[in-house]
Amino acid sequence: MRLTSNIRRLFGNLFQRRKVEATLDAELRAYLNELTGRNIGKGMSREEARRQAGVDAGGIEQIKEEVRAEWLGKTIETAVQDIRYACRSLLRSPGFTAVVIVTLALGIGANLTMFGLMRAALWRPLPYPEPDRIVMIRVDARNVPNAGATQGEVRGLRERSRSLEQVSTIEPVDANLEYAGEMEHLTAANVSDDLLPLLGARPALGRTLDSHIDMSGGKVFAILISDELWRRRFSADPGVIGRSVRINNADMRIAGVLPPGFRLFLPPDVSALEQIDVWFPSRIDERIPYRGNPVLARLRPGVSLEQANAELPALVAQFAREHPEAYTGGEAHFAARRLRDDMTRGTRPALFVLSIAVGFVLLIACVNVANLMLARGSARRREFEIRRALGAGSSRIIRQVLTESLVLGVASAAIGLLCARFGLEAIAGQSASHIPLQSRIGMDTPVMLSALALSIASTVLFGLLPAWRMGRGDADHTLRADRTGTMGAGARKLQRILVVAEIALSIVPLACAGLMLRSFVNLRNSPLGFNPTNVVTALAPVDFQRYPKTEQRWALLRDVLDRVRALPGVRSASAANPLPLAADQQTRRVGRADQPDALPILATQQIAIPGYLGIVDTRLREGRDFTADDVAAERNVTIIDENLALRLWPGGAIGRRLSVFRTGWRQDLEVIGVTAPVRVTRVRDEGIPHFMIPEPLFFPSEMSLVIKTSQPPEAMAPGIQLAVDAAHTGRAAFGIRPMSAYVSDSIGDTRFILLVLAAFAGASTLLAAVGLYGTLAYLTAQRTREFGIRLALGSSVRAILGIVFRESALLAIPGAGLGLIGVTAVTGAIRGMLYGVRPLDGITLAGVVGLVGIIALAAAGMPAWRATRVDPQTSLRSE
Amino acid sequence: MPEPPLELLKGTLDLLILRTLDLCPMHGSAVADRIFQVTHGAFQVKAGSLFPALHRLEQKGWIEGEWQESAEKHRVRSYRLTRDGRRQLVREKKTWSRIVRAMTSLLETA
Repeated sequence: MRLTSNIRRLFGNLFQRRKVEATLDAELRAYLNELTGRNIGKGMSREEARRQAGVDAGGIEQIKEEVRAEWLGKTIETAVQDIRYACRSLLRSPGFTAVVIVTLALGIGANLTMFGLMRAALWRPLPYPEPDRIVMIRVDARNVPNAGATQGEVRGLRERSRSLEQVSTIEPVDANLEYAGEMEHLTAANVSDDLLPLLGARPALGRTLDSHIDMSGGKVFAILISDELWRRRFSADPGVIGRSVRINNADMRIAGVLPPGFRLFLPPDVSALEQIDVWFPSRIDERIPYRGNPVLARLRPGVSLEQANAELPALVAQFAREHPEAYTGGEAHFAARRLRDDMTRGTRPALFVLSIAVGFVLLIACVNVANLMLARGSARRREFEIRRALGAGSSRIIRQVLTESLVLGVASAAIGLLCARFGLEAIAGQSASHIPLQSRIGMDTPVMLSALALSIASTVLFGLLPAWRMGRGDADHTLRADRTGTMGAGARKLQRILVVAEIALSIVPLACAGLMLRSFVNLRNSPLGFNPTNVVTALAPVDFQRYPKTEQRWALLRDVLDRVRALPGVRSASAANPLPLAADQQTRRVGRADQPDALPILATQQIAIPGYLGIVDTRLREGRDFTADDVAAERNVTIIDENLALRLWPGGAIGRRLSVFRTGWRQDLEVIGVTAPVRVTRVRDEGIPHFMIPEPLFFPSEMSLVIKTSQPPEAMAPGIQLAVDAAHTGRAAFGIRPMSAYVSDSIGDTRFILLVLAAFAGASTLLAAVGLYGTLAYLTAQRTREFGIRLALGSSVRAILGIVFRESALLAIPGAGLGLIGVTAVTGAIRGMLYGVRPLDGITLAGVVGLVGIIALAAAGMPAWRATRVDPQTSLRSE
Repeated sequence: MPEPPLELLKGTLDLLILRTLDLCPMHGSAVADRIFQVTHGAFQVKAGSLFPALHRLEQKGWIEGEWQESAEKHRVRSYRLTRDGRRQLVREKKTWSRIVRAMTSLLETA
């Protein structure tokens, strides 16, 4: 075939050059021999015949060159030659090459890392069928934002909505698997029938769940399990389908196994883990009046998000007409959002500021390289003038310079790609970053393609300007006796502008990092209202079917605590639910019992047993702690924090009665104590009212043990697990970790942004320092002669340093000014991420400007100092 | 006295070579000799244009070279026309006749 034989020839020409050349050589030699033979036949001597043949043929090498020009792949070959020449020329100035490659690699690497992060969080499609049609329905009810829907509303939406289908809900729960004599805590979720089909999860083995067959009267008969659990605990045995296993003290059959790698990606407020091992069927039961059910659905084909949102208010109005009792406390508001948007809503500002910072890194890298290229271009002007004089056309020279830039760009992109690989690994490994879809961060084809695009873009950016300047070459300049190779005034002016730009650009990321650092320090030092030091926590659920009565559970908890207290290294132990800063906080509407018609306020609720306050060191400002007597007598008492006390009873809260509301239900509690303000939602949320009630007033499903000990959690874990097991709670203890982990998770987003920003700011400052030093040193070195003359004429070293500093300051001040303008524009956008510091914090800004100023002065001063050390005689003769 | 050799027109060399190789495969100098004889000395193909042309035609896949023993027992690189080359020859012949017709009509009407 034509194509294949062409390709074969092309490969032959490019890669079997020696063979092809040998053939040509033999062919031409045979031709010469033939001519020689003929000449001998004409009666010439052997030598004469050979000479004449050569003359007739007309230069063997010339013929070869013309033949070579006909070979396929000629263009490729010229390019290869150009590249080889470029490599040689770059290797001749290794310092320049290394600085350019490192600079560009840093810029490209940082940008690729950020691109990988943004791609995972914002752009890479979720691994579900038609992910753009999947929506979350956000429900705000009775002034509680994101309160979740009631089961009745879920059913109503499913039956009546003409814009939504597969309306479903999910509830993260726990599963305790008893298998092969061992109890193991597993992640689990109750899902309505449509949820897994909505997410496109079809069992790889077995069948889907059907709540009408697989459960009845609250009892579950069949479950789905994850591929991971199937491999880990059931040795990937296909015969496991239909087998009965004991989960949560009940026998359930395994109906199916989900495909490997299926992950749940839901907004953080659903608090569902990505990896769920056990899926329970759940039927929608509208008799349960409570809110808190997250709603997922799929837009019907051809329906837009706007159409869905236009339909929802009418449906809510219908629900309110039919069940007015469920909407007594205020109306509900439904809004549909695309799943992806709902997941990333909270992180967009952070990603925005990070991408700004990373953009600045690349800009600074660009400025640096442009600077270096200009300087190198001036130094090489003679080389190009000679080449031009020898007949090289402009296009040939431009092509050569562009090839050099391309070589630099590709080398930088390769190293940048490597940096990005490690950067992405580091980011993916960060715990509690609060970055959505973090597990999907990684190197993939689009990231690599963007590396290629970045390297080509940078080539064009840095190659074109010097290429154009050199290719243009002006006639006046040709080989003039301009031997020092100084720059023209134009290039010097350009370099000065680049210095100003560099200073301005480096200030913005530094200021952002500085503000985040101060926020982080403020968060670390903020009063939590409790002290997590030397406290180990563990979740210890109780089987409600085995212990249905309050007294039974109270006795059980005391038994568990007694066993835990007996462990070596334990100083004291108590329990609470939920733990401060854990994900599953409970928010309740509360008010004064003597003002039942006042608008209720929102407060977080925590259940605690006597002794809890002492272990976590929450100080009582007034009143007393719970006692065992309060619990045993099931007294309606509460301890509130100062935030709540001051809002409801500024004149003193002890002995007053607090009303706690739930749908259609209210309970009055006597305030017996007031504590310091406690932060339980997030470290940065101050001023949120909080109250505590004694177990077991509200029947919690699980309690968290809090254990005061100087031992590390890893050392405590086996003992705790054994103690809980020995008490026969019917459930395994899990989540054994230090209480401080909840604190550090809560500020994990700030820490993550700080880390990434600091890395970017560090890179940009380093680049700016290198660039400033390089440029200012170059500009100063150009004036060695001038300084020599000044020194010879009696000027002092101080006066010369003064000149240099003054001129550097003239560049630094407008640079800093421009930088501060940039800071004003950018930091406003990160206001929401700061804590305890204003976006235009004076100390931070002064520090940043001071740092950049010192770098600029050092960069200018060092070469000036060196210039003054040179003997004036030498510098005058340096011409 | 023979007429002086003609300047080769651009593009005609390829046609000459293809036409010559259409008779039988032959090596470089044989092609040149053959053209010289058939045109009665009108076209004298020098090595400097012969070999680049042969290689160009080979790269295009119209002819194919292979090593053979010549009549004088020398190893020579002999070229033969390929199927594509034969097709190309037909095309170039047609083009050439059009040029000739055009030139003739121009010259005769003028």
